Amino acid sequence: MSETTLDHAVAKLKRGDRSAFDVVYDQTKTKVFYTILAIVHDYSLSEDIMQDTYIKMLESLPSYRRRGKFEGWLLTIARNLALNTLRNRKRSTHVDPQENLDWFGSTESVAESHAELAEWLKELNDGEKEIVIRHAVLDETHKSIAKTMGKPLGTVTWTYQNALKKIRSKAGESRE
Amino acid sequence: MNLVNNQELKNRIKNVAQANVPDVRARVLAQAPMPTPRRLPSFRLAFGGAFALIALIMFFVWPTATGVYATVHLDINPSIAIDLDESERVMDVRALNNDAQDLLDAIDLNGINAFDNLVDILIDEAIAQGMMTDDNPFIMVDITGRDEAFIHELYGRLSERIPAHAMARIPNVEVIRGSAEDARPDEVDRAHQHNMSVQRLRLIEAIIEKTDYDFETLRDMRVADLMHLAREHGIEPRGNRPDMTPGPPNRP
Repeated sequence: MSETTLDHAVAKLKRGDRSAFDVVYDQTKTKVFYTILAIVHDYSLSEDIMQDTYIKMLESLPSYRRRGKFEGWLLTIARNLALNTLRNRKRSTHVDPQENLDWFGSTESVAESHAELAEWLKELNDGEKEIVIRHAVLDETHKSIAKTMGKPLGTVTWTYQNALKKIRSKAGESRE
Repeated sequence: MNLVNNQELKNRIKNVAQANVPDVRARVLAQAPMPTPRRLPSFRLAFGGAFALIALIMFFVWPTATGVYATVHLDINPSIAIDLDESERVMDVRALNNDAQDLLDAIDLNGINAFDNLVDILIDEAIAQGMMTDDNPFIMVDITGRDEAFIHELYGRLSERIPAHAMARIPNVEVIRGSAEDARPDEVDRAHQHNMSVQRLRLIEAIIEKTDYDFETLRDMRVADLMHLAREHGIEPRGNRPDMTPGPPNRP
């Protein structure tokens, strides 16, 4: 679906056309969810923040003035809600950032054809998962990921390749 | 599974990711009101073009004929500098950091030349984007300029207008008033160099004096985080102290 289609749906939604929400939601849900997941590293929490993001978007849409891209605006809302949630959590509880939280939810929700790969992704450590998600799902460049995560570019590239290698290795094991 | 190359594997990961996105559509629709379009009165539609033309002239032609009378720094973490002329018309709006760029990207600045109107829009967008929240209710205002009375009046008005405008959504909003009237030239230069207001620079330097934080860590913090740190260590921004009357600085 093109950017123009999304813009058209946003314009309709802004006029109060409820049916346009489905188009906006379907077009943006993957990036919204994984933008949040890459920050909070917790599937259930990301689900709640995703819900808040769309609610906030709908509340704010009447005052939205189209200048930049709608998707960028929506992802900024998602990112800020995720960062605010993370700050609140860190302030109120001692969350261990290394804790291996549930990134991918229940595999029951994953289509059967993808379940195997989802299981292999679960084998990756948090750093690898974040880099794989940012690069493969959110289409961020390695350079951008390095900047966001505060890691050297070489480390990000190596980690990504290493993660793919692990997945391949798991795939090989399952074939044997 | 036959994993051929990186690109194919990447596509498969993407497919898994897409299939694994939770569906919150129904929950959103149950909770959020659908947007209601803002209807313009017919006279505004009829004269919209004329207003837009006048606004364009005011925005682009007027500033070239006048100088910057005052610069207002609004800082939440989006840090924005607004140049005003003597009549409080907006001459320029500048993003001083990435958050500010995100904020300004969502706003069509064409035709917005009344300062009060611009401030309202910036606050609305900062709240919409989750930059200004109950947890981050601070907005730091620093004004530099030539005219003491003008700046004093502007401080007073913003201190009342911003909380009043944001009150319904952020009841605990707090305006941190600037204190750049006694800024030394070297402070002004350093603030310019770091793309921040004198007030923010002073707050950061005061925190560095009393803690182990370094400048690089503090420069990107939200005003709320700076204020929490400052108050933890008994630091209050100069403009907020009872004995300080905010006034003009040495230059815009």
